[in-house]
Amino acid sequence: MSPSSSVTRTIRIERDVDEFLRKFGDREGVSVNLLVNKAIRRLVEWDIYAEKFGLVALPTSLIERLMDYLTDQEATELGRWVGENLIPEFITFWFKEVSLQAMVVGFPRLQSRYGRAFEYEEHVEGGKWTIIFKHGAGSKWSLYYEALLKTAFRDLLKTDLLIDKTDDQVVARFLLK
Amino acid sequence: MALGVKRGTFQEDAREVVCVSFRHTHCKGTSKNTKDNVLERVQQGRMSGKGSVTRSVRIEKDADERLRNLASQGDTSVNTLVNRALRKFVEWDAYGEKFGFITLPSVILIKLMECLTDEEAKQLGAWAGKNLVKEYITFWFKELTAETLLEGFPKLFAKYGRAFAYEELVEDDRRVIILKHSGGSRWSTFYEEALRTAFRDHLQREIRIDKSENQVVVRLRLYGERIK
Repeated sequence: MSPSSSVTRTIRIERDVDEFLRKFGDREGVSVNLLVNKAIRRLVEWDIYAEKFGLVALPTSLIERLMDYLTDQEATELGRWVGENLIPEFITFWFKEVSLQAMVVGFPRLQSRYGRAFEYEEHVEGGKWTIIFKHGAGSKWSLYYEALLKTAFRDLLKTDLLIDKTDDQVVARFLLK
Repeated sequence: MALGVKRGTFQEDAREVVCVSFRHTHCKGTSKNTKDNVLERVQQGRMSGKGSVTRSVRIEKDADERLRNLASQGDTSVNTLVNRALRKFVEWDAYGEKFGFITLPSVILIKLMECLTDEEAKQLGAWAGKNLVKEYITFWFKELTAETLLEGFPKLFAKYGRAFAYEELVEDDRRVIILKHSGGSRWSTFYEEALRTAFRDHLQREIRIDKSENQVVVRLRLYGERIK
């Protein structure tokens, strides 16, 4: 962190928290300062909105099992419904407007970093975009993300996608200048 | 309220908590023990008048500016916000990221559960009570006792997972705990079965459960007779 991009703050921290941070930092090989910064960044980028938006955290294994009970058609229908209803609401709530930047960079990066539903990669060259959702949760989640992406991109960016999916990953390709 | 009876709720706290992520930087797949006295620390976190230490930290400028804005909008101090962020890290995120949690809009979870039959919701609850609850409690607290189960599953889960609001009544070893989830009857069935299975299989205790469409009420004695 360069000095020009940071400010120094003196804070009073509860003693047991401070002790935990020191021990945890030692074990993980990171500084207390780094832990504090990550906590703050998560607060300002995610938690403040997540609580208001009604996001819920559940164990990954439970979510994966829940989806296993759905048929392929139900998984696809759920993805379509989320793409049509929840994605526009989510993007507007976080970024205040629907834009290419919010759709292909802001939303998936946030979901990946803090929601932890998938790992995310994106690549763009000459208006040819490739975005990758690596979710590792099985074929029904791939159907869900396929339907979600197709619906959201069609409705919000008026763009059709080429989808290439496997059991644990969905790759979407599209042209957008 | 009767003398000696304590009540607790996490609905208010749940709006204020914050946390930290490190999956892209230094979080290692580790078998190192990072769970020293979690129960004690979680319980300390609710005590007033504990000590504090002063630390100087360098904070990224944009994050600091957003913190100041949030503090001013919420009529609170930057120090309070930072402490809430760190408390969540200590009680939840330090373990949650390694254990594996996904954050989703609650409406998706409701729709997912609506695709199950009652029998399937019950089956999933039994699986969660037998496996997931045990794994989760052991990961956080290192041992599964009546105290750690109650502290971890309904209480911490309500506070940071936000899957339900939590109320409790404590009277000697008698506990009445209420999970208000608003997720519909199948989530009630799921929670009922998860709790019943967890107490029966891991602690050899029967519990009394009353459930309605959006709420589950559990009554138990911590030190009652065990099931043979």
